[in-house]
Amino acid sequence: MRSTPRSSARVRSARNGFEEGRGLNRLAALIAIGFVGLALVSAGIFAAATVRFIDHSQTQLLLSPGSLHNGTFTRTPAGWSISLVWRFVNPGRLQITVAMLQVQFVVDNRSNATAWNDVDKIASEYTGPLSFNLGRNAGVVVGPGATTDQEWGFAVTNATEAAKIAPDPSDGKFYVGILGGGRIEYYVSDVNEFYLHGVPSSYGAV
Amino acid sequence: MFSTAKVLKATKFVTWSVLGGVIVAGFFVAAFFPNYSVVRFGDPGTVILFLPLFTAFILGVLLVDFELVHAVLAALLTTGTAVGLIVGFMYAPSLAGVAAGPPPYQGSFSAVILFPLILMGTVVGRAIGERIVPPEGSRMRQEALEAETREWHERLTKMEKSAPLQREKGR
Repeated sequence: MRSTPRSSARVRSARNGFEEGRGLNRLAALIAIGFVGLALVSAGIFAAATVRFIDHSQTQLLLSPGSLHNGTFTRTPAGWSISLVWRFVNPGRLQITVAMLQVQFVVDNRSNATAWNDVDKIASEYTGPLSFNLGRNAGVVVGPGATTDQEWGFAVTNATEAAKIAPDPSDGKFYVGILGGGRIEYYVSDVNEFYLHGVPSSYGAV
Repeated sequence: MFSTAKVLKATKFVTWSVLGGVIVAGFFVAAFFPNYSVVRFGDPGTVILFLPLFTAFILGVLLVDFELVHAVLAALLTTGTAVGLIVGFMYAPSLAGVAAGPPPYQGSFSAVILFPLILMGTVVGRAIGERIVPPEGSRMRQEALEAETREWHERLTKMEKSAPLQREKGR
């Protein structure tokens, strides 16, 4: 026999609710939705940063300092008018800004068979700088997968200097060498770090 | 064998913990490596210290159905997920085969500070969560106790009222 009075239906219902009701209440559900939303936003931030970091690294890895693309040598009454074009190549996935380029060129007159980069021979030839220092905001912008040309013009009016410039006697072309030790300073996209890259020596007809 | 309820509870535990790790890692990377982030914070230090604490607090609130020891395990799982993602971020160029230099190691050491913050946030969140968002079960048990107490109180009041009448009749 039951010694205590039976509980009311309301109490029994509440007790059953304790056993069955394991769900979140309304406030907890709102917090849960907010948490999931924040996680989605954060996942987006993380994914975007990771992709950008990979692209940044890829752009740096594939970066080329560029090379002398072409040039024209025109005889003038006073001497020579020289135009040289440096081509920047960006095979990366992010834009680069070349803030500074510093290389030295030499016009090989092919007067003898000595190597073009022989120190004594260079001393007897026409040399000049190909350089700019424009800073980050005014530098040469090279888009992803694009090329950009930078042109320099020189008027050689000094008779002694003008006399050093001559085309190859056999093919009539002008041979220009880029001396080693050159460098470029560049930025990748809007990342607040600049990078220095060496420019290797090169030689060829323009 | 595992019951469906246990599997659901375990899934819920892992889901909340991993999502917590994702939140912490995303904001940590954004604050610690602002050069690569689409969002930039004025004060990265505040984000690095506050976000893990806040996230873990919310995680603790969401884990009110679980024991305290489970909240500590959740803090470990969240920290592990976050550190794993941060290390994954640092080695992402290497994994993609386009590394141009060594990974930025300094980030991994700083990630160690996440654990005490997450642990504290989770434990405090769980404790406070019991007050502000009690689990449905606890709330109904409390209601049942209140209803039963009220019922007994009413019955006792009735008995007290009827007892003097019976005594008077007995005389």
